Amino acid sequence: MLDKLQNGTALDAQTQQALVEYLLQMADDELVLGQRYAEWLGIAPDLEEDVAFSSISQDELAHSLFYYSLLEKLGVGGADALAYARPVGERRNSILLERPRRDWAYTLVRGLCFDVWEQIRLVAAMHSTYLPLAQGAQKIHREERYHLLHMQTWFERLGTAGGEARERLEQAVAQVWVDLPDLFSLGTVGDALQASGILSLTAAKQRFTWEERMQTYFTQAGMVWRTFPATPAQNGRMGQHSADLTELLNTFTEVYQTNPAAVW
Amino acid sequence: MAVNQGSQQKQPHYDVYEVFIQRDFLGYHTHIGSVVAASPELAQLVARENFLRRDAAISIWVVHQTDIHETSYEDTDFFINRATDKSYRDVSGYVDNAKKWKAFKERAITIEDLVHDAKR
Repeated sequence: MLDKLQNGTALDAQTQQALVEYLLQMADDELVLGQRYAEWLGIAPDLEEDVAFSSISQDELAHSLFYYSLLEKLGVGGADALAYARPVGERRNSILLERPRRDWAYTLVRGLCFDVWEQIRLVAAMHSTYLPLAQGAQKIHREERYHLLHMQTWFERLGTAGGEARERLEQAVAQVWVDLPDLFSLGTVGDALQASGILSLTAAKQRFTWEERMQTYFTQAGMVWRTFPATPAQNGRMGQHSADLTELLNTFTEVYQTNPAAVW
Repeated sequence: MAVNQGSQQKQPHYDVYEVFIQRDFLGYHTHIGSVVAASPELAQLVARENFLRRDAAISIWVVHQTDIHETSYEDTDFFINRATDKSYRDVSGYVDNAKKWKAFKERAITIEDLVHDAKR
């Protein structure tokens, strides 16, 4: 196992704890969103989109597997157990991503917000002093570019379409907006990540970049930009979640909970 | 194929696009199927996922199906090309070439042959 980071920092207990938290945030984000995306299987607005969106869902789940595998190598636990056996209070995903899929407009707005955020997070991860993360981020970044293009194209299309599409999109933006804050949160490990160079950017800097880029997409779609919302009481990065996550976990861990040793 | 699921019976804003894929730089764009999409950009995106989930490619064309000008299936005369003898369009005169070359190359060449050729 690695005992030093690329910049020579020792991977001591405290640094390793920060790294684990950070990887859990990324892994849980991908897993939870991938599961919510999968709920569109068979009911996406058209057949072609059904296939395309299922692929995106699979990609997100595959990305979560990459992060869980890194955690497995760090001795945190098996990838399957990390994905399926952890109780809701140990989950580190953003609350935004555990929300029900609602309508297509909500799914797209949430997807766009997340994909723009993920580009920023992945580029930062590509410069991480933790080499296995930096290498994986490079590959994932290439796939995520397509996801972003997909969301961006839909967002612009619905925004400029007028009528019901536009109304639903505006409603979706309002619904997504209140849940935004913890997406950018690093929980309790922001300082430790920066000190070790695992992540060289602050949460505030990353959020600023996100707002800048999102405004471009809002302009393209003719949508009105909103100010960043106040921080809610709950933070998913600290293991605080809504009943939506409990419901989601009960659904997708059902087979695993029935018999954790089953091969399927 | 599917159209939008609006509750009202509105005219769907969806068009059919024919999809052509170029697999490498030496190849040409080949028709692979069609997709229904709300814009050319979305047609490219869903074409990529529907036809290139596993295979590699370097380019996709999507073409509005209405931009294709097709011939009529009824007008069979349009395709008549053998009503009279057109054997002069065939390349059958060349079929023996390979055999002749082979026989020529297999013939042993002697010094006398070369001298004879040089004197000519």
